[in-house]
Amino acid sequence: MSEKYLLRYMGQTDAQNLDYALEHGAYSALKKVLSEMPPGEVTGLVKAAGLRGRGGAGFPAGVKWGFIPSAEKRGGKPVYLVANADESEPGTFKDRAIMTYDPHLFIEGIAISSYAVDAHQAFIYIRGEFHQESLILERAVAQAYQAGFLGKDIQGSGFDLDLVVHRGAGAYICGEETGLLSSLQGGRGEPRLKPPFPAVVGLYSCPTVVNNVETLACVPWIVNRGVDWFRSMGPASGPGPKIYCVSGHVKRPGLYELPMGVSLRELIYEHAGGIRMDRKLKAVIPGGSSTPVLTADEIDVNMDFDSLGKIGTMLGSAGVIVMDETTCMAKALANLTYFYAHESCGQCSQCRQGTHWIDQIASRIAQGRGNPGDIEKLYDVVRRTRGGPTIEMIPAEPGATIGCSPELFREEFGTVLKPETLLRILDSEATEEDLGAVTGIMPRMAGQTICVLPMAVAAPVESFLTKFRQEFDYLIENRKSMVEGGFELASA
Amino acid sequence: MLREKLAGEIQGIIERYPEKRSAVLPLLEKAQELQGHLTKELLEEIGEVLDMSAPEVYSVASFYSMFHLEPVGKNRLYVCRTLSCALAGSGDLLSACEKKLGIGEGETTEDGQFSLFSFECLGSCGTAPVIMANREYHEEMDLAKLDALLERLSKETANDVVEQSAVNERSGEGDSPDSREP
Repeated sequence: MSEKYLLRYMGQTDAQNLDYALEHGAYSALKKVLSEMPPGEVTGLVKAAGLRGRGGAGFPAGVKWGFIPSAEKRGGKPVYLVANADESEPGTFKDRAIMTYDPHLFIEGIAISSYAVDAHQAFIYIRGEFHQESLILERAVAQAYQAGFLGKDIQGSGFDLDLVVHRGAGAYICGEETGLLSSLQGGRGEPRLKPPFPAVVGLYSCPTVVNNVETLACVPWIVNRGVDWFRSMGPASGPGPKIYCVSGHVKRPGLYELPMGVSLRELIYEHAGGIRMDRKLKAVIPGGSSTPVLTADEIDVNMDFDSLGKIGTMLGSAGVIVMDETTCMAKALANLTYFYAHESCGQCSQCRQGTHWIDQIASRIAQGRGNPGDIEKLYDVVRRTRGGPTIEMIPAEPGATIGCSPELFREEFGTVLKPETLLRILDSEATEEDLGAVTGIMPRMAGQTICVLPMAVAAPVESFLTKFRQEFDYLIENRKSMVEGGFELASA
Repeated sequence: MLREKLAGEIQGIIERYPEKRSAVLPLLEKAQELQGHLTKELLEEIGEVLDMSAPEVYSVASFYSMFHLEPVGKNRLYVCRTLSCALAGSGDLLSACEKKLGIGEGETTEDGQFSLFSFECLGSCGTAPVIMANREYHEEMDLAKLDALLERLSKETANDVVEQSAVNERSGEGDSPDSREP
């Protein structure tokens, strides 16, 4: 078993106590940073480590921090840091464990990151359902204040930071960063168009960094152990320790902290103990419900951003949902389409209506009431719901982004943007002018939605239909599933 | 009511944020704790405290699954229905809840003790199936654990005075979008 860093205390609550955490090295990285490193150096370190966001999109954290405008350009506006603890992608349950078992690691990560981006006010946006976890965090935050790791003049460094724990109230879309910010500002959790990105116009219209819990928890380790240590785990394009969430039909569902890039087969058959009752594996969703499904023949793949991208799926939030041979894929799909229909925020008409249409068709197929032509209809509705490629994905690293290849961008934007602008965007080196040029072509992007929810529903629908087509055809033709048993749909 | 009961707390909550309005979710949460659901009066009061109109506060409250705009039971059971829980038998668990309580999803028992909801992913997929009872997670649920849970909750709230207000069948979730048959 490899060494653990993010889940060192999994299953024991000792580290919720600051004294215990301090004995085991908590806040040593923060002290080091505050006494030895200027903020820019911290950002440089995280960039050099190649830490990519663990929330889903895989955007390099240091690069994101680098988008925060300099103090001169901000014109007196404060910078905010928001920790995204709205963990709500089906299949994902890792952040909850970090917050429960190592809250001080998380808080230390927030403090160091805030220092790096010159933020003096940070928020933890935690989903409302995680009430117990939010209380653990509130206690840990109070302890950190008392011990001088938060508040004014932290450790005599002159650096001030306030941290507020803010509970959401149940809405998947609040995990999307602009939806989260709308919610934190006291509104409905409705996403807004990007650009401008939160780094420029975020919380209260001020520059804002939004990072996932696991991403932030990596930061103290990078400071303490260094870039080479971090890069020694996993591929160069996205290294580090990684928490994999395994659920579904395995013998030992749970969290597995392993080096980035573990093989999916090893994860399922060695770490998670294989398929329950030694049944046959049928399908695996590798990165949360919004990532395309893999068949049993596709599990010889490394669980990292690029390897999964190469076979047409994504690491996402590393929520691995395993389905055995007893699973009716049509029912599994209908379960997910219901989820997206329920969670569409309703701003964009094609998503508001399309997700419900998709769910209606997927549900009637699953219930043996499908009509000939329904599969084509599903593909068609998905295509129309999704619209064009979403512009917000442009500055993200190609290949790590939701369903969009750089080629697609070239085709879509190449005719309206200067080639050099496009190249800088694709290389994550976009200047403000480049982003302005992108904004300029926004009106031409008719048919697209504000956020990526339609892409999130498209991923399971298209991949389930394509990879398990036979099962769907059989169900429509014979009005019953090829699979005996299986689970009942909780929603009819 | 809100201002009377939470006189000492409201200002502190508001002061956590650079802008007042950010306190709306925490105040809605506090308000719901007072009466079990968010009444028109509570929404209006939050609006007054935060300089928002009552419809604005309503618009926010109605966005989130955890807020109830209609009366609910003393105990709320939220059964996770999303994929990992479904694979682990949450459908059976929900049916068992319905049978034991004699109510359907979205309904409240006649004695006002229990409301039952199916809920989207609770983020505890590794310990599926999961029920959130009020604010507490109950993981790796099975029928025996469900019995014990229902019994415990019944005892805890048996002596509470149940409000005589009409307990509606469904909370204000029914804003079904335009969903014509494609």
